[in-house]
Amino acid sequence: MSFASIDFLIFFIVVILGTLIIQKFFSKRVKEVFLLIASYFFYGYWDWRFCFLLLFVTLSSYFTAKYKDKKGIYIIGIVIPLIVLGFFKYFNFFLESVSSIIGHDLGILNIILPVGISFYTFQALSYVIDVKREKIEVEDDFIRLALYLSFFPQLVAGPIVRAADFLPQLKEERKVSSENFKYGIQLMAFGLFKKIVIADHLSVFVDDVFKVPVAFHWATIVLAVIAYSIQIYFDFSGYSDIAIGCAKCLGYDFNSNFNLPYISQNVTEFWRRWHISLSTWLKEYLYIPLGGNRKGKVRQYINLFITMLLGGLWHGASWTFVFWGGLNGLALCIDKMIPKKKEKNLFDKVIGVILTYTFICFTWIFFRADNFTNAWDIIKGIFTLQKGISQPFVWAFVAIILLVIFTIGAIIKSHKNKDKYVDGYYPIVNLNTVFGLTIFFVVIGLIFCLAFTGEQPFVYFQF
Amino acid sequence: MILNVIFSFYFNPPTSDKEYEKSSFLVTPFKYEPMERFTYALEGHGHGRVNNDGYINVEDYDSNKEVNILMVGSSQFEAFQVDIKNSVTYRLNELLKNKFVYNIGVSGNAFPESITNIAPAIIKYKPTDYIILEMSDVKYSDQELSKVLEEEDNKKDSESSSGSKSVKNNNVIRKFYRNSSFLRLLWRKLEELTDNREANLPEAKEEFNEKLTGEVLNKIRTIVENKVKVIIVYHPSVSLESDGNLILLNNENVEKFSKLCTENGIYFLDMSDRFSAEYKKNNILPYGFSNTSVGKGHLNKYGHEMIAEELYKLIKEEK
Repeated sequence: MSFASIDFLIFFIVVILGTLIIQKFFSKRVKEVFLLIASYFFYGYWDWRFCFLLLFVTLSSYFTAKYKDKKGIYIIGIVIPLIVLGFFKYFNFFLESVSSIIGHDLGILNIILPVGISFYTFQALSYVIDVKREKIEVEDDFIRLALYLSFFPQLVAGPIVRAADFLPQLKEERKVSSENFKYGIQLMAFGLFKKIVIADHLSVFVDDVFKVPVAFHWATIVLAVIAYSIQIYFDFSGYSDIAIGCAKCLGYDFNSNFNLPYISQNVTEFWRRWHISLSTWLKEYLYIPLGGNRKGKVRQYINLFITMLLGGLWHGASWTFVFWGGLNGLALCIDKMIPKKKEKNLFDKVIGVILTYTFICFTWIFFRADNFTNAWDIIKGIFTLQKGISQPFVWAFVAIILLVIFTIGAIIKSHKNKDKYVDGYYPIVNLNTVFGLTIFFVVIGLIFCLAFTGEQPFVYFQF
Repeated sequence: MILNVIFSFYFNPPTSDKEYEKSSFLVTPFKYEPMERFTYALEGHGHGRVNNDGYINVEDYDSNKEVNILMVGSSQFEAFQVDIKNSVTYRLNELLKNKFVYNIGVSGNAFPESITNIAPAIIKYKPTDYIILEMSDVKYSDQELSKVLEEEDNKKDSESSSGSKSVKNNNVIRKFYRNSSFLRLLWRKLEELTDNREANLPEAKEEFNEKLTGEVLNKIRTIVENKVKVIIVYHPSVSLESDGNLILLNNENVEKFSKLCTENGIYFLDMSDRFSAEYKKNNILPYGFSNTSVGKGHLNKYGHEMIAEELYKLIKEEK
């Protein structure tokens, strides 16, 4: 069940009403069980068999974390989610890669990739590792741990919520309240707008160009690459906003997953602003255990590169994703090598933003392309100033204008607050006023009427 | 109100004329409320005014003025989502300076349904030179073809793209609905969502029925007086191959259809070569807009222009 569907709207209303009734008449325990059942229903709506896999990962984390002091069991606790992820997501990729190396077709298995597997296996790992590191205590309550791993707002496409952030919330008295709901529902509307109005319309154009790049004019290809950079940002950050808003309506808080990534002045900053929950996870559970920056410069570069390669692989079982990760890893290493100015003037900042955005757009080509030939066709089309179909796609310009307006708004807001670091913000209105309500319902009307009605799943579902 | 103002620039299509639909003399399954202004931007962008006769023409209808060429067809001839001055009718009028080309194309009135009402159309408009029909596929199901041959009035089956069946029946709701761009757009989106859910039904595959198709073409020729020539414009759907070449879809039976047309004294204008040539030379596709998928959907201004030019050539050659 996608967030952008009538089915989810009904589900969400039922969950909110159910939680309201339960918190009024029943204990917190009943609410936890109710939310757990709702989350499994949400997940099973795609394919009920997926629920057993989720339960298996939960059981393994639950029991292995209990024996954190026994090294063998701790390792099992780490290995099981990795095996689950490796088998379902990477086994066929492995077979195909070996086949091409040995020149003999080994065939592939008919494996369905369970939705959200990359997200909940990472959460399971974070729980086991955090318990071992004694950042959190062992969770004796199976229902709570199961709810943490399956909580439907973040289950299928993140954000990757760390156990240390969420389990304590489950122990607190969190409630559906008018204030939470008013805030959460606006985040959901904002996310929905990004997803079904902007990202989905852009996908039409991006798909057309990436399907047959050789048919298009170079300027159209450039526009398509820019459009994709906005599509993936609005698609994924839109999903995150809906997830954060949804959790907020139920009384829970998730951290922000995106923070104006395209105003980054270098790649390091980009990765602090893009998919924050993943980059934080990779830093804490991969980069730092590899040695981080504690073992000298060369080792730091190697660690960074490996982290980004694996980060690329996490996104999808394809060499284009690995290459994309590698490019970002390389850029991070180069960025670390370049000495930084202490005080940057406006010109330096603007140049930094333009160069970083151009580089990131270049890497998105590999991220979006079906294969290297496809990516090469895109690059060749641009650099050879290819002639072809011109398609000045209107939604791409609408998206660019909206992005620029919101970014300028964020810069002005940060400037007013005398913040050095520009932070994103949600355009939240006061729903207790007529003005606020009018704005809210106008936005809802815009969302429904401008929505793309074709089928377009969230980009990050595939990961 | 705010949303109505916003969407009046985005989606304000003409509404169907309910009084006309009650009449027993139907030239097309429905027509629009005369003199209504319209705007739509879901695909491309089109705006204009319905003429006094309920059809989309720049000129009003004057029963004293001779119609030389009558354009009959679907939303493609209506120039749906295209500016009225980019339509094939308008362009043909410009090219054929001394002839009056009149369009009665309306959404949903596709070939072969459009044939059902061709007789009343001839009685009303009395075209002197040509009747021009259009199609994007030459193959139709036996059921569709048989229906034409049975001469059933199929007005109930046709539906305007601008509204909904149920909402239109109640006068008060209808008035409120037709004045609200927001509600009309919302309704349309809900319909699209429903259509998407039903879109997975398997498509019935039938062979090209030469016999029935021939009978339908013969029927057209029988209805239309001999002095009036009939042209069928075939504008095939297109797609791009992975190497960037243009492919024409549904064109397996075009030759057979063309032969049947010749046998029945009907001119068959196949746009395939022109579409291919235009793409090869200028990278221009006849369908699609700057806010939709490339090469899909309705004819764009280039598509209309190409058809107008080819029709002009054909008409000039025949003189």
